[in-house]
Amino acid sequence: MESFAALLLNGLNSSALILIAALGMVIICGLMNVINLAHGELIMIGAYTAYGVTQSLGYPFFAALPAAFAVTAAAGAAMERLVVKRLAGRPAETMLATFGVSVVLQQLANVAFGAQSKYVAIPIDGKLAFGKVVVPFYNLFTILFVAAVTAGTVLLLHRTKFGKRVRAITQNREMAECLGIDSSRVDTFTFAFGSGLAGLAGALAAPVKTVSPFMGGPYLVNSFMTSVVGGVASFFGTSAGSLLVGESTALIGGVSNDVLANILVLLLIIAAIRFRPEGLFAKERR
Amino acid sequence: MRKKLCALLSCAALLVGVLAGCGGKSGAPGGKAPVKIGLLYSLSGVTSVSEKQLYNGTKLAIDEINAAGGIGGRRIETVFADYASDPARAADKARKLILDDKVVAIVGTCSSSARQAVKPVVETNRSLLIYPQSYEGQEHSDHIVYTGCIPNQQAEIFVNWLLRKGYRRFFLIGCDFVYPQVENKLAKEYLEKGGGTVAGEEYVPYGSTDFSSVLNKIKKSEPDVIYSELTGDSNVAFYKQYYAYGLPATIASLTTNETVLKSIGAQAGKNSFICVDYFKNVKNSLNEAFVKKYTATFHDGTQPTYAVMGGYNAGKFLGEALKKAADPQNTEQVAAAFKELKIQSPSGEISIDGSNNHTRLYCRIAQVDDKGEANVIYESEKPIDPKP
Repeated sequence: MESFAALLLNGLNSSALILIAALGMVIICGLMNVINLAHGELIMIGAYTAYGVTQSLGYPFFAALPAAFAVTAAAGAAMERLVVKRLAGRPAETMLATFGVSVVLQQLANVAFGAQSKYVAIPIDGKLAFGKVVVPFYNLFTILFVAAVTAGTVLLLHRTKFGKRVRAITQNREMAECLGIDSSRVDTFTFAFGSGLAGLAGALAAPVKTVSPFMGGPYLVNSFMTSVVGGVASFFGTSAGSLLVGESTALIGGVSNDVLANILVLLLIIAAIRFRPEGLFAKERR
Repeated sequence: MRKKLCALLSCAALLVGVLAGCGGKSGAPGGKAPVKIGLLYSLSGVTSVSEKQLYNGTKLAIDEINAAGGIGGRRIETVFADYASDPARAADKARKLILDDKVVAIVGTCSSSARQAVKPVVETNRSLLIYPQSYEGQEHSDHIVYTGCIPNQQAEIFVNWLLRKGYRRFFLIGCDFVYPQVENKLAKEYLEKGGGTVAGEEYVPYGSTDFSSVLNKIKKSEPDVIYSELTGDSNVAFYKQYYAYGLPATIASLTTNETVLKSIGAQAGKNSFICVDYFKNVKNSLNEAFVKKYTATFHDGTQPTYAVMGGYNAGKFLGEALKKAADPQNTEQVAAAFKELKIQSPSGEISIDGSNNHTRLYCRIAQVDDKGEANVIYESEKPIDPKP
């Protein structure tokens, strides 16, 4: 029983990291209909920013989080203006172009920083231990931080004017433009926001995983799967999807092993998409 | 008519160009043409961290040989091929090096998957591969020289040393591919002979950085030591997450090196053990000079590790074999020259065992201190005969 609780709690931590990585993808893919294959590299930019801020500049980790958001948002805005905007309405070309950007970013990081993983100190030492359950404090912080960011994102999209504009453009772009919304500017900001969230994911993962040029690949795959399973453009769906993926991997991994867990979770996702292609909690779209 | 003439002229020009190029390559008969060797390493992808170190070591060795006069006055010219951590591409690049670039031998590959992909290529084309990385053994080829350490020079000594120090319950962990699987199988044999027990055995997907369920299993099984062959990003992430969980068992690794220690920080590696054939802190005059030279030459964040030394030894052995062979462009003569070849390396005086094409190497065990430095606490008296 206790080890089951331990598995659930640790699965929650994995789910939190999956969620924040997928959140950015949901905004870009779901709201803007852009398939961004450089998503993993945006996460990488956030991770390297965390490294730069904490190790090179010597600031505490909590300054690294907003810095990662800002830097990656700027990178995302640049990518949107230079690449994505010019290929609007052509998803295949956008995928190809963003794939090219991803390769360029990987090699740039490889040349600039080298392939070795960079060290980022864990900001909160110590763990919570009751009975057989051990939860590092940093894991708890990750879970709470991601929950706060998700809540903030939902508030942004449903309670602010900017959010209203984004939703209007998503539902009916031409009508929104008729009503005077500058869809081009809102697009750039939306893409930047989604990228900023990806940067946060990278910064959060940096102390406990790796900061290396080729770290982005697994995140890209996980984010795609989670957002598709949950229902693209639905935050509730993405949260549920990441919880599903994270917890199933942890539980199955706890009972058998991680390799089998990966296989089974992937099969589950394929089954889910087969029977509900729009995602488990899809929203109505006009 | 005009189009036909144009086409004919351009074909002729191309032909002339190709012939001129060919003529230039062969050079003057019996002259000072350089000796060509191939370097087959990845500069991108999952194994590029280790391969950059192997490449640096080999490059340093070749530069040293060239600076000292080369092979009887002839320069060694290196042809580099990057296979981006993809074993299939490694085989293609190897074929290109042998057939198109006509190299006399190839130094390279890192993971066992890549080596096993290249093995049939060098065997079919009767070429030579110098494989610089430590691996799981149980392989032999007349066309491969193995200069890295194998289990009877590394794992067997390490497990018995740990048992003597009082570590009885072993938790075995590795990535899910051939190297850790074979190493763990052998570790279980050594443990059975030595009176230890296996508390658990786990494999994570290659490149995975999420260890939450594994850490839970470790906590449940209460081992004395974590016996790890994790590599790359998985290795770095494991040390960090293990430290965050604060579990009591010591980590004993067959793969960690000074570069990994820099990535995980001083806290996460403290008191852990590593067993390989070379450490930066090995104390002899040749090594002190080598470390100085390495840190002065390479500013890419890599440290002088056993990977660097593996690449360096491979380059040095190849240089000596090329000198010893009557015709350094004849691959069969060069391969024969490797038998019982001896060199003075910063890791000690080491030699090739002619019966199995593996290298007699020292075994060293280090413990990591609280500054993140690996200090050698055990060294075998003399180089150990390889028994693949």
